[in-house]
Amino acid sequence: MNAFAEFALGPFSSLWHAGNLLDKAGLLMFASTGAAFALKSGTFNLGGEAQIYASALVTAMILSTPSAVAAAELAGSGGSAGPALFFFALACALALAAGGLLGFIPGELKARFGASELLTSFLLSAALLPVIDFLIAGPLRDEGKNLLATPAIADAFRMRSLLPPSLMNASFFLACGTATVAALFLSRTRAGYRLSVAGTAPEFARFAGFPVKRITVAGMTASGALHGLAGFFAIVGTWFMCHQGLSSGMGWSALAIALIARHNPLAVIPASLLYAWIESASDIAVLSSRVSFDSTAIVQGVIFLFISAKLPIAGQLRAVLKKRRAR
Amino acid sequence: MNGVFSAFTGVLDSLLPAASPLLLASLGALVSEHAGVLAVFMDGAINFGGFVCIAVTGATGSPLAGVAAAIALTVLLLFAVSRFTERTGANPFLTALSVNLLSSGATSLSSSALFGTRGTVALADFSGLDLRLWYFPASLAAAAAVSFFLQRTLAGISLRAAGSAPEALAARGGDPGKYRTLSWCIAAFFAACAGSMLTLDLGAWVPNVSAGRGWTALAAVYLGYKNPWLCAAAVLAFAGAEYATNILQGLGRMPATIILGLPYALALVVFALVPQRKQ
Amino acid sequence: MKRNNLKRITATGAVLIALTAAVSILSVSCAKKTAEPDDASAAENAQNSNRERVIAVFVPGIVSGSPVYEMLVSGVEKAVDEAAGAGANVRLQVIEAGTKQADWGAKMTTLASSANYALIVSSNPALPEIVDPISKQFPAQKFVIFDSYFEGNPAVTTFRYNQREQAYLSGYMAALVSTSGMESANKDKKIGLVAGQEYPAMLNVILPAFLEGAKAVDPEFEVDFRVVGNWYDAAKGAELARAMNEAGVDVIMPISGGANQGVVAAAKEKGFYVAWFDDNGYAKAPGRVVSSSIMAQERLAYEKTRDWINGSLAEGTPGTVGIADGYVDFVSDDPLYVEHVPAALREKQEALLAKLKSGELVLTVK
Repeated sequence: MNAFAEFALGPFSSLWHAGNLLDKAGLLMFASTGAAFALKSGTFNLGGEAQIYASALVTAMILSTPSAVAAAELAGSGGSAGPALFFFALACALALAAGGLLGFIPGELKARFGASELLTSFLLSAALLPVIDFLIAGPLRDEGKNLLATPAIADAFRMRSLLPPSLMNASFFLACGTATVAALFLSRTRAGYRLSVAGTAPEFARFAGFPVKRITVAGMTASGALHGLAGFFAIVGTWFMCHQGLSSGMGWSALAIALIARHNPLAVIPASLLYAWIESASDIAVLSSRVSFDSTAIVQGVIFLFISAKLPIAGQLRAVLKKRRAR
Repeated sequence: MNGVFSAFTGVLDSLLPAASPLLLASLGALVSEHAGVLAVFMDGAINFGGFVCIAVTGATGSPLAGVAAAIALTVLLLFAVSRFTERTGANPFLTALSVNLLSSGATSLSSSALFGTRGTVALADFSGLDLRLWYFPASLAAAAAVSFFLQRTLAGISLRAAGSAPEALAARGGDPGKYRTLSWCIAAFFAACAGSMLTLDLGAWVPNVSAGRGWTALAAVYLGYKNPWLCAAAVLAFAGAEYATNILQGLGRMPATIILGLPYALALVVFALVPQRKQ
Repeated sequence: MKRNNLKRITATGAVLIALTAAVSILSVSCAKKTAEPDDASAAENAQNSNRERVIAVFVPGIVSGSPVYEMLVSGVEKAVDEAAGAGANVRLQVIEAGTKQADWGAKMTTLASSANYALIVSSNPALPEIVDPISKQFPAQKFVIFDSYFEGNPAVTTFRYNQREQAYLSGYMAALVSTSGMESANKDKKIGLVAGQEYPAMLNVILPAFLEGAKAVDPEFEVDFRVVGNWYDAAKGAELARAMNEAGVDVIMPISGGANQGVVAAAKEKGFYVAWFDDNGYAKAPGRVVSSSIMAQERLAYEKTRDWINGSLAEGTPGTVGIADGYVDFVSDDPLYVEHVPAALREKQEALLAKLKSGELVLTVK
């Protein structure tokens, strides 16, 4: 019991760990809001990993072009911050576009040819990952270093830590905001309503005259773009350079979180925190060499099993209480 | 002429055995897909089966015992998770993902307990089975069996009903949950066979030996429009593309790493261009 | 119904966020207390020999199955055990950080910021660049990193192996075997290298030196270089090796982690030869493995850790070690090697070793 408490409280043992937990949760929140968006529109986006990776690469590349570096120097030396802000916004826009494009393609293939987006998004991702790996290890690598990574972005482009020394920055709040906006969009706007209906009852949507095909494309594109945001903030807020394999596992985690949240972007917020908590706790336990990798994999697997269940404990509690009351 | 013929058989010699574990895995994924279960547990199940096979083969000296144990334990694992999923109303996608985590943890822990290493476990005096020629015919026979099972047997038809029309099945007195569990078990059987084939061919267990084949198998199910024979064709096409890229790497005209993604790109193009059957 | 659900979820979310925030704030106050004196205490630890000094081995990957990290851990372990046996108050802790490079920085920071470790030992060419900025934050933390090269940080001491010599030895032996009358050697002047992934040291040092060594036997030699794409797909390793063999390659050097096993399995099946790298691999497939070029990581890790414990390590400067000082070598006394490789070939390899040792042939790394 003591060991478990130690495991569970590990991420809160220091500001460093707690801040990093929030930072990790924020990145996952962007991506899983994207995954939830796709699920809501009745599609399955299995290309999240490449969407995050490609957007991260685009961000890192834009922010390390010579003119962006010059703009950052200008801002850093007390000059106008305008050019730097321009490049920051440009990188964000292009990251969104890159992610969006990688979501749009499977969406369009489904709308046009009826090709399963589940498959095409996976294949597109699997085909692109090695290409990005190659670009990072080869032509785009920081030649002066032995890291498998692009050059680091300038200080002016890095988001300030709100809980130093941890990595936690404003992107966490932006992620919460994004998830909330997505939830409001789905529940309160006409377009959001159509999207949900097209997802849950496509026949009805078709009958009601909703443009179901366009909705599919829009859902997948938005999903990709939200994954792209995760990639953007991964660079400007967390890693400051695009490492090889940066997004590995993130796509699946995002999908899992969206499913735990039962496709609801608002529920994605606590689900991401929970997920990041479990991951951080495992990482910290391994780092303190109290347990090995394998045992944390098993612990994570078991926790996963249980959080995926329809709250069996809550259900049982309710049943027990009912019985008591009946007596 | 003779040269062309021998080159062709040479290609088949290396292509068919390489395609076989993938075909087996995709048959498993196919059956569970028909029952409405997306088999994301495949990769973990292949690894699990592969490890058990090597561990038992090493202990008993009999590959047959190894395969049997692999099948038994993998089926048991997925049966348990499936029952859990059904009884708690859990999301099957999530419980399936947890199989992958459990498999990587369990194989690694058992490996360090049994062999004192979490790395490669090679069977000392085991130079592989001399059965490579039989891998593909056996896998094709399995495809035939799956096709027969799904089309011609009552259990197979009910299993498909559990996926496509669970209410109708329930109305007729069938239990969709039971058939879903059956589909997990059949998938486990094929995963164990695929894993055993991979590891026995290497004469060793290598952590994560499946290396994403479970996911590729799942993709092949969709590429093959959920039909066993078309799945076999998809797997062959995929293995062929992979074989071609292995050759392409040797020509040295293109960065080796980029070539690794080509089979997927090719599959994407083919799948997008071939007209889809309307559901 | 829908509204209700939304409200419930919102409430749960709010509670969770509040909880997280509360716990973080709580932990801030706790963390502050311990964080301040720690920087100083690490330095104190290092000076005051009565207090326990913990040496951490930071493994950027997983120890098991990776000879480079296995040798690292056992070398440091030996030094620590020996010192502890002689009465020094030292202890070892091994930390596995996993294979994701992007995570190493945060994990290394966790170790450095804890100030629990008098010394952090590791091994990977990419690590100094990750450690350097961390070291600026925690200047009292000392690092020793093998298999890497870095100048300009007094807290970071690096040692690199002359991998040009190591791969040259392999290429030379592979070409000797390929041109020999050995049973499975063919006429083609082609040898192969299977890598897990492409990375700077592979493309800039190992691959060119492997070819350089082969060309020293016969300038017509070429190297067939192929990539698995990861460090575990053994079946893909076997397929690549078979395809290479079909294309006329008769000796393959695998540097692909777990996928090496696939190359070995294919060698047994198809009958070609394997050149092993980094540790002694003759027993992996007796008669098939014809070469083992090693780096003495265990000895280097042992000696440098011992020196650090004794306070005699020259800190903050990079060092390069190679054949001349015995940290790069070729295993030529293994009975399996003597049994399966013809004497004429072994003599030529000995002659090359002697030339490298005496300095008659100089292969520098830049």
